[in-house]
Amino acid sequence: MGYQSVTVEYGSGKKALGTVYNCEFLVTGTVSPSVVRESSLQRLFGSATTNDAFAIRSIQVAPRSRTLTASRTLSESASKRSQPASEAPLGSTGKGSSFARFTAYENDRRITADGALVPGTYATTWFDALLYVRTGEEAVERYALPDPTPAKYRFKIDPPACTPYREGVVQPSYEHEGGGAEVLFEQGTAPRTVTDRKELPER
Amino acid sequence: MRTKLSKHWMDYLLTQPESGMGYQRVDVEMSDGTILSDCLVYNASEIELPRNEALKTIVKVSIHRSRSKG
Repeated sequence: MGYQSVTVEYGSGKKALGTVYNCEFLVTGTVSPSVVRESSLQRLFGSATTNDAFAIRSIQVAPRSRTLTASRTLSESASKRSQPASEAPLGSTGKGSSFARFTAYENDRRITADGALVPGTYATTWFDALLYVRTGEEAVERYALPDPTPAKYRFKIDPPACTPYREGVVQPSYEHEGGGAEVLFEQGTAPRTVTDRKELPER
Repeated sequence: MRTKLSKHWMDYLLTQPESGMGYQRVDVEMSDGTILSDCLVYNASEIELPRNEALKTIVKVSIHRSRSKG
């Protein structure tokens, strides 16, 4: 959704595989759209130039079957490289990064009275939450939660820049596929970083 | 069977890391010496125990360290 796999022919006669996002931005190479992160795209779009467009002679959209095969191969490869957040390298949040936490409990005990997350608390990226999870049951599946009760309470977390965290991928477990982004705030977050709570439909 | 933990263990588990979003995997020692491995605790407050263990007193809780999940 939102991209096309293409073959580009340049004025020099050279050809390259690529992906066009939003009918607007061309990225050459064989990166699967399913493993491109939103932050990467935002950086990409911010630094995009139009110079190459003048040198392109033709663009052919790849047949869907080839697109799916290539995408599946790359996704499987990426999946093998994916690791849970607990084993991912330590990073830090950027300015304006947002996260979400899903729970079946209206009173989430990992959130303090002053709106902080206690150390060692898991969440997901706001992007992952908005794009993939519309119900409490979807949260259970995507984040492989052992409690079958729909995790219908979604908390928004807006930590300041440079908050340390680890980011990885939820591994399949408890008979759920997982696959969602997971982040681990080993040191928690500052007060007043849990900014919103929304109750989603259960299913 | 899901059982509510005592305040002592609830407060203790809030100082311990989660195993995933909203849950912790713990090893539990009961008052009669029974040790239960890899039990699930939700929201640092409710633990899943076998029915025949649920009425016993918990004397020790520690975070389960194995990587593989259920």
